[in-house]
Amino acid sequence: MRRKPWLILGMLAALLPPIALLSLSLGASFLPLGDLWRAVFQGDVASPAYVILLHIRLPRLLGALMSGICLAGAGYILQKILNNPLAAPSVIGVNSGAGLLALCAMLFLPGSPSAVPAGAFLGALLAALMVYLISTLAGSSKASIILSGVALSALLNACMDALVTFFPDAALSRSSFSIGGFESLSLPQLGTVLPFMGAGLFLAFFFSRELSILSMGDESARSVGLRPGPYRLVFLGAAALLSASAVSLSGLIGFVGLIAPHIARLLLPRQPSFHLPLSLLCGGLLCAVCDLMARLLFAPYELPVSILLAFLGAPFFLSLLFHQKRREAA
Amino acid sequence: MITLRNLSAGYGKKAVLKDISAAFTPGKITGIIGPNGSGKSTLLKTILGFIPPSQGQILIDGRDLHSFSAKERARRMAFLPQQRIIPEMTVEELAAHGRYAHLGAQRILSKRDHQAIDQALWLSGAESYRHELISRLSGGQQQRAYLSQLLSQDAPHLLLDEPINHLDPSGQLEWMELLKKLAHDGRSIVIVLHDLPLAMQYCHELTVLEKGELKAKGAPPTLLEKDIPQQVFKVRLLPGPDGCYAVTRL
Repeated sequence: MRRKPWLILGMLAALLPPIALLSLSLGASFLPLGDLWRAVFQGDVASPAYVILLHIRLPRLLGALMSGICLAGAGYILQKILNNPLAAPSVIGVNSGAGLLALCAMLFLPGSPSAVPAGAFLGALLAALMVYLISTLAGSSKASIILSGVALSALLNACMDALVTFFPDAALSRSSFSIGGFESLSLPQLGTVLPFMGAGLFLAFFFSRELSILSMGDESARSVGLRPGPYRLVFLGAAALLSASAVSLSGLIGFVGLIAPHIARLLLPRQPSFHLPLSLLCGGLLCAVCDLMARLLFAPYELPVSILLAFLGAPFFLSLLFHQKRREAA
Repeated sequence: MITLRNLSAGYGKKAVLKDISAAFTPGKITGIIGPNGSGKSTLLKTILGFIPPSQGQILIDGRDLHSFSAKERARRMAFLPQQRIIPEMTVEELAAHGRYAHLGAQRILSKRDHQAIDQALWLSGAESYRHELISRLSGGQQQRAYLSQLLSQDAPHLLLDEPINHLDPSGQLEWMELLKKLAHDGRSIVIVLHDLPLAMQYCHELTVLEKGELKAKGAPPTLLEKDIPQQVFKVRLLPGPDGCYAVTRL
């Protein structure tokens, strides 16, 4: 049975407004829809509703959506170019690379706001290139990519811990950074990340045909006239842009990049050409919903959203592993 | 026509192919045969430009291979690698990727591209499962899906690296008949084969490699007269009815 892709995309997109409204009105203090309406359309700048909306809830909602979209996009691209369903920015060390240099940027260039996403991009790109190089040298089997990513993640996380040891000032940013979350975002901060996110998404959509061709493997790609080398760099760059955007917004949030493309595959198994937009939508929704749940589950206490995502993501990752093993055995 | 002149190639300093001269003509199936490790796959990859030759020249329809861009080369030669990833796409998408070298700057499939894809799916016999994911197909069906990509590429030269290895006997015969038809339409087919009797039965020409060197080339009956299979493979070939061959130990 072929499902109607536009219907599925439309249904998911239709979830967005209600989730957004809930996310804007629920939290430590309840903002009824009427108050929201008045805050937006009467523009009473001094009203608490306006302040909460503009400075807390809206950046948080947008940050969650943007992070989710970026992580899903990065995960989708990495899974395609490495031809590995277990690849994701948090699994293969790309997020850790972004985190390390973003932390360096926070420490050594505290005054410039765009230093964090730029550092994160550089770190993500270097980590992605390293994983790719290591796995080619070690024989690019599916396991060797994941294993080299695990080794790289461990190394990069150790570097972050070392930074914290030598620069105790960094301890606070390091811990909130590695836990991850959307709570301390501001609208200008979202703005500095937008160009990175835009560039990454543009590359992913504009070169989607090449991405699909590359997923056939180098020899088949060359055979139809595509040079794999330069395009692989383009896509590693796009994945790095996206995961850097996510990391500079929300720290080291895991699993979204892994799960979102798989949800897209489950929803529309036979229409791979729709997997990219669907993954992005799933990623954004997943982060927004988890953020909302994290705020509400133990109110008035807030659960860090990455904890919730890990509780959902870890069993999913494991079931994926088992599923793959069963398929290989069959 | 693909012409090789004194071609040598290898990986790093290790020479695999030594001084090979041969020509693959349109309208014919040329089989490349030889024991394991004789350089058959390396030869195909060198012809395609994936491995740079250390010496010699490759001419594609009279033009040096290295003067072609990647897309120009893909419009002349289509290749079926031996080991393939099973990508996540439908048969139709796979066939459509064969058109990549024909797409304009906007990289959108034209009406002509769609016609070529339809024809390729029909010719390869993959049409009935064109909307199916490749991962859900049987080995034989996957092979036909890949063939549809080669055919939609619309190249005059098809290079195939052991395409029938994992097929059942009737599947192997179907493939060879199909290749015969494709050659009859004017394509040149260069195929690495492991199955000596099938190579003898279906190929118009054989290029026999041994330890990276050209041992012999010519029509199968000529090679048989010269006892080439016996020398290279250490087996005896017995002609049977309908151009079939049986193979026995020496």
